[in-house]
Amino acid sequence: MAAEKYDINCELDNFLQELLRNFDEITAMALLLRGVCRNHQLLARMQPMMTSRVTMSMTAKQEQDKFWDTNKRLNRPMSPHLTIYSPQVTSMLSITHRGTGVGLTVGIYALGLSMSVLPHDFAHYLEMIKALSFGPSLLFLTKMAIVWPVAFHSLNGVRHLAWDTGYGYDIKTLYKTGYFVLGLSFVITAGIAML
Amino acid sequence: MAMNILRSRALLTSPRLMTSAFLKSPYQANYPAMLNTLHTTHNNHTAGLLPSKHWNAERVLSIGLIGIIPAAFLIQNPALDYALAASLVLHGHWGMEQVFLDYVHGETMSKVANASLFAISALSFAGLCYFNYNDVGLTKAVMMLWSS
Repeated sequence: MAAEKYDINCELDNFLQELLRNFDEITAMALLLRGVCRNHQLLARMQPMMTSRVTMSMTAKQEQDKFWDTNKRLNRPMSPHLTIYSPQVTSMLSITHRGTGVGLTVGIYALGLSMSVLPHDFAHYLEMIKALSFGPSLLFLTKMAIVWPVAFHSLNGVRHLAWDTGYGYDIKTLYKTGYFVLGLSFVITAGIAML
Repeated sequence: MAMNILRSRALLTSPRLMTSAFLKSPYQANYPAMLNTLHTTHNNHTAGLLPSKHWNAERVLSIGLIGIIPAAFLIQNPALDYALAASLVLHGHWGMEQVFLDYVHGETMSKVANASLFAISALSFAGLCYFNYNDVGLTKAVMMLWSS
């Protein structure tokens, strides 16, 4: 890098020295300058050669470190930020997808961990819950609370898989599939909870 | 005098300017040093699958879950209970890794978060296997809740 910069400086030096050595007519210089300046393509080619060398001398790693350092120094909020944008259907469904995902993970982990630690078997704890004698409507709501995250995350997951293959990115389709997935998730949830 | 300068290669600042390669691309042919500074994404992964393979594995698992979940409830088979436990835990684990990547910053905190996640995921999977082996199993448990 340094060698190449030196190379260019050297060539420019030679160029100027040659000019100074040979120039006894100021008009020739003017002619030359005009010639160079009129040659826009030449200038355009020279510009990145002169400037981008310096700005691009940072590696990607250095650049990312600088990015994080700046974020830290300025105490910038994290990305993706949750409260900085006004809510839209698209972003709300996106965060709901993540929320249901985290919730279901916590749920299945809690089941696995608790059932291996607790002294009694599943039937015992189910009897305990039954003994609390929830009304039928509360039981229905409980089932919905279990099924809806599964249904929504699964359906919206299919939407994500479609995006992964490159389909469904235009705004109209995004909203259409979003509403469709949301509506269908409630229909499926009601159906399964009624079983 | 003027003709002298016009004929001189110095007028062009560099003989490189006249090569067709330079005119075609100022970056590729003449400046191999620039190839070292291509702005690629910083490679965060230190072990395990290549990121691209990992991405593919995540999609395969996601598509698999669409089949495994209904199959496990319709067929009611112990093997499917284990498949369900394994795939749900792995899917959840990878999902949580992604969440941590977004929201847990700093080298130390990321390491702590990921190590803890790995431990909890492993314990949960063990717990679910235990539940499948010693208790009614995942799908039967859900069916029991539904019939209550």
